[in-house]
Amino acid sequence: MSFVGGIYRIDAMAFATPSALVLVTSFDEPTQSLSVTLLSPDIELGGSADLALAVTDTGLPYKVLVESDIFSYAWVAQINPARGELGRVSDGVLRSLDALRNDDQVGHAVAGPPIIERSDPRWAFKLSELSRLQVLTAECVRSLVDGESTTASCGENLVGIDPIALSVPQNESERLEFHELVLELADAVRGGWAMPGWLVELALDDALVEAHLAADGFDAITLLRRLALEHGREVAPPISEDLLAHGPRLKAIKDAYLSAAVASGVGNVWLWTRKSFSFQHHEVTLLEGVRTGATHLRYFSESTVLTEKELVHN
Amino acid sequence: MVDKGIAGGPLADLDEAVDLSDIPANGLEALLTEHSSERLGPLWLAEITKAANVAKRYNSRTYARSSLWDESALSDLVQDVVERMLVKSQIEYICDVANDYGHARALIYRQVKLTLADRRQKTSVDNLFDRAKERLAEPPFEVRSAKPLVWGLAGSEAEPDASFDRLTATLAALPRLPGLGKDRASAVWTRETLEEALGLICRALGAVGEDSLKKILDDTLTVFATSEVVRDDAGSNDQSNELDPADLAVANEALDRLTAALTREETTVLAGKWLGNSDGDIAARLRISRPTVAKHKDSAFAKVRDELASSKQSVIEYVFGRLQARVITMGGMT
Repeated sequence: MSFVGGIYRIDAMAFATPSALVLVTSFDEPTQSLSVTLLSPDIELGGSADLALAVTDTGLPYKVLVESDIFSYAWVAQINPARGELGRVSDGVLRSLDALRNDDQVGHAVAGPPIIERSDPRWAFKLSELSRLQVLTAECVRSLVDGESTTASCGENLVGIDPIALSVPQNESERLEFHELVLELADAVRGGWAMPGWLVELALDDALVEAHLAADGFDAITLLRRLALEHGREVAPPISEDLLAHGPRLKAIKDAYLSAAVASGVGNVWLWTRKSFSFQHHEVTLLEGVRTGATHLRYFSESTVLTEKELVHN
Repeated sequence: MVDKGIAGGPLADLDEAVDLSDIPANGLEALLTEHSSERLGPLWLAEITKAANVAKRYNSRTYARSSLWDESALSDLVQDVVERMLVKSQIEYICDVANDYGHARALIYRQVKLTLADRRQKTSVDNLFDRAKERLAEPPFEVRSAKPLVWGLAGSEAEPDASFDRLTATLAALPRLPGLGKDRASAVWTRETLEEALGLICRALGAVGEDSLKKILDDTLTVFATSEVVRDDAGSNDQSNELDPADLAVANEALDRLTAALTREETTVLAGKWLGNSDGDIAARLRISRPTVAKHKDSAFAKVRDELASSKQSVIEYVFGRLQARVITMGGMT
């Protein structure tokens, strides 16, 4: 049986959360996970990131939007067995969806004009759609990103961003790396990653933003700011305002972040970073409060682990 | 980005929590069973009737077609919701996706709110339709037939050259006026944008009759375009009232210069981006490569920047809004 191209209802893994209809775009057999794109019956609220599918495109009795910008990962086990395959799209629709994501030739009508302004009701609709899928797929995304099970004996994993990666780029190469990092973060946020609250603080730091703007980092810092404002929420461990206010800021935040993570029993700290940075910032100052057991600090970029370092207790 | 206030109206609170205090045991199964036997029976109707009460929080003159949300108005709304759920098969969607009774109920409330938004959309489109008919009675348009009423561009014998879907997609990208608040439907388009739109329709169809015009407007202006919370600052405000005559003259001259300066390719590329087309689709339509699309985009932006760099903000906004409408109507159908 091929999941790809099928339309299914996926249910939450463990608690009562509203189910959703999704289109499966790929299947990973080793992990038994699916790449899924959210479907909505609210055709009238579609934008340029959505394909509008007619009844004849899917076999469903109602029209749907395929929301190319709302996608994530779900376990095969989340497919509702009683409902089974509700509909199916052609390879052509899958190609159009892929093309839409890559700005290629779509060859299929998009559902509406672009959603540009926050005041457009479709903006709130998109945010709501994103939350709808995030809640359903967070467990799968977290497990896939973390690799090992979160039940590892050394404690839970924490996925974050290396604060130092937000340093102002000094040359074209670093500027491109910063852009890549922010784009990767944007993808992760769409996939369910929760941005920490301190990132909001940094995104609102006028001095930092101005420095980025001066370094011609306009697009990236603006996107990061928007992501932080829309998706930022405090995830454990929190960093005190006092720490945010002092120091050489980025380094201080990183130290505090790691310290708080380790103190709260986190076993693995995964930090997104810029490629060149991963080899420059191995030295991490661990403050007090380190628990027993090994804690691993891992840096990754473009979904690849670049370095791994065991944090040894002081 | 500053939040300009997404407030008011059924679209603003589509996903609010609903009262689940009276959920019956095995309620969802009963709803599904009833659906499989009679599609929409008394259980569904009871839920819709209960949900319809949510309408009382919205302005009755806008959404109830009467001055009060009385029993008759609510009953009328229930009928509209039922019709929506059956005609658009939304009841089947609810049966497919709902995983418990609370979820089904939330989706029914959502249908009530979307029905209310549909009503506002109809009012806005009706108003725009009346304005369009008035405008079509004057040059550059002419009446081609009195019964039934058919209009065309004076002196033009253009043959139909566009698909209906492409036409509505192009019209949907035209800049819209912001909503006017809770009590009045949005005017949707400025006088100038309406004229550009009607010109495009006549060129694309050769001539347009009353029924076709109404259908085009209905299909083009979906609920979000006519929602009260729409406030599109990307050039959609009618700035002409804010410009003094001298500034207006300057702005119109700049607009004409820009329109003349943009090449056909630049116009098509800009229109495509405003329509939300991918670079790949634009490249295919123009039979050029994607990098060439990017070059045309850059050169078009440069022309706009050069023309408006030293202008006042109010002039820039006026020119940008008018340029968007003009470019879309000139290049959107390519």
